[in-house]
Amino acid sequence: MMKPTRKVAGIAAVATIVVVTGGLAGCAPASQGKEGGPVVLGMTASLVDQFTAYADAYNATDPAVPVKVVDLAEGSDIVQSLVTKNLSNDLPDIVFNYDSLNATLASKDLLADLSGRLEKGDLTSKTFLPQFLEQYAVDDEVTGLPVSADTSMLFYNKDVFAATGVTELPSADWTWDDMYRVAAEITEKGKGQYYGLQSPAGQGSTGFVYFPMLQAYGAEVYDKDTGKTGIGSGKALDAWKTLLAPYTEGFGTPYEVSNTLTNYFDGGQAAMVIQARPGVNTYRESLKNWDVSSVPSQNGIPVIGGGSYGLSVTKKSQRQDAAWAFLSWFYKTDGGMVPAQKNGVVPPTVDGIENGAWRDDDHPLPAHLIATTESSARDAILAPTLPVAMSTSMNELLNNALQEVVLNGKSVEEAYGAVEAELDKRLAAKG
Amino acid sequence: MFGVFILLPTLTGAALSLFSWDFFGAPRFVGLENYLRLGSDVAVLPALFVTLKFLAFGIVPTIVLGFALAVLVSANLPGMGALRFLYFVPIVVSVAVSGVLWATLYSPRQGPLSALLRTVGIAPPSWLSDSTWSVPALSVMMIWLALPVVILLYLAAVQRIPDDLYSAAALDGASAWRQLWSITWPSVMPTTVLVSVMQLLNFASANLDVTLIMTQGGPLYSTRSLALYAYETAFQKLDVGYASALSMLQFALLAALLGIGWALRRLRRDA
Repeated sequence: MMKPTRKVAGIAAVATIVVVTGGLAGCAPASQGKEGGPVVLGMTASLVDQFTAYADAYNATDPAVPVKVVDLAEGSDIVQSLVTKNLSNDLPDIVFNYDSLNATLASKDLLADLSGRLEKGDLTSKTFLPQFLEQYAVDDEVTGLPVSADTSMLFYNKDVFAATGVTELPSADWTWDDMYRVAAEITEKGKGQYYGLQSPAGQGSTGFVYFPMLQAYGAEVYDKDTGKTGIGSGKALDAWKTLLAPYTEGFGTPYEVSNTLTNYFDGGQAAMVIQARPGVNTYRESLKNWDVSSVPSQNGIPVIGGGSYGLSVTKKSQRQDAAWAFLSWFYKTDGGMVPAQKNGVVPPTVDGIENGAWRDDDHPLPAHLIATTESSARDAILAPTLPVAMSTSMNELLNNALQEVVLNGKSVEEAYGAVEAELDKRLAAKG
Repeated sequence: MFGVFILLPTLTGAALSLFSWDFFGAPRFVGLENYLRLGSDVAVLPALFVTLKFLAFGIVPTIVLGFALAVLVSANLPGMGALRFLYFVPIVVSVAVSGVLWATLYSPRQGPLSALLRTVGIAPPSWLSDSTWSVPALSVMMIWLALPVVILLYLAAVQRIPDDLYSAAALDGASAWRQLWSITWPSVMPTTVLVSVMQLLNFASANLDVTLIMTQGGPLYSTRSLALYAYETAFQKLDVGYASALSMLQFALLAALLGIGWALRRLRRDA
């Protein structure tokens, strides 16, 4: 048999590429832009089952347009998932969102402005606790709605207190000095087996911890008027020194770059941890004798942080009205919030905080959980939406600054001054 | 298939490096601007150095260990049945599960490695949180992950060597070590070349998964390789053009290393 010439082989190769790429393009779904079909809700992988249950409950009410939930991957892969779905014209009508991602997605003009819809109907801006809704405000637009009032609390393990013979338990009037004093006592008496406190600075960029602490010292993460960050200002440096003290003074859990095995509190080795409320679901499985208290105050200000993942309607969606109908149902205390609260969701709504089913949790609850949840939701200081030039690089820079201090022995002034200089440079470059 | 899955992505990557693009808007042609940025970006050289460290710590040990274990497995010594089972373990567990396993092993307080060092009076370093030890520690994990395929390749190569060669060598009084060095090792040389190329690509690129799970590029950027830096640039900073330029830099590095290897092999053959 005659061998094919190079020319024939070349033509065959090109034809193969054309057929295969054409075929792949043909396979690409294109729900975006279509008016028919259900409202598609893209959710982070770990919450797909929960939202599928909410969608089922909604669909059981026989709505004009039903809702279908799809997987949007997890963590940083969500951006990749949104990118590919956008490129293939398959962006869901409603997408999972969170505060720092919101700035990025809004800057790319992907999200619909909901402020007009929030002025009328059942679901209005007054429905929500203002600081939680503010997290999704970009300039004059609202590009997302918060789902859960996830505030920080001081969780404590009474067994560790008892094991180290420390009788003073956290109380609502504690300051950070009180917390650190007791933590140091437990660490000393724990002799390497127990620590007083899971070091609250974590990897360095835990927003619900550092943001309210900076506020308590009168420092601003970002000043809209000057267009600069105050993350390395004198007041901010005092805040960072306070936050890093458990590492630098050695009375907190030790720093490790891998966060795979650093949950000393979960493992019953740390007496206290500042954690977001969803930690309740974990600790009631892993711990026996625990309770919560408000995060202590500093300089007279409760250092309670928080945040909420959110739901956003995409700008290109052809089913925005149907998407809004679902959202209006979802946020009703007797609507979607009923099944949501069974999953530990504390509604970020005024009515939900006062009358929500989360108060009647079926599980045995520690004594102070309900009161602490309620007060924390009202007092929480939440980070505003930051410019993309900051939000895309701030965590990396803060994590590195903490490593410079804890591992490399740099001063807080030098490490966080460098973060401020770098962020200001990036802000200036973006204009 | 080669065109669609290898050539097309490579050419697309090369083309994207000439654009400024954030994945969402329209790409803007910027010519060589992204390549010029490589020269002024202070993070590039450290990332390049980290990539070279992964290659240096990973490739040769993987080849030596893979070859040695394949020879052991093929020798039918007592206990080799268990080894045949164990060398598959890294294949059946995900990188994420491997991450938990190795984080436990490396734990400075509770890990068995640190406990072992303490029993002989050596203060263990914080393996993953120490800039000096982080890359070697991750390289060991990557070697463990890479070994199954390498052992399989060497096993296939070793089992193809005719028994007559060993019988003749034994008659001539060659020791087991001499047989290994003069018969087995030269006979599996084509496999060694294949494994070298595979591991060059593996240790340059697959460090991305491992570093993302274990250290996120830290401490102090000591494990941020070119692959991780390009990933962060693309998917955290949404700067696809510059990320593509970083990837092309890694491509050029690997091409240069392969070229050097090929030239050395040719020189040796001609000598």
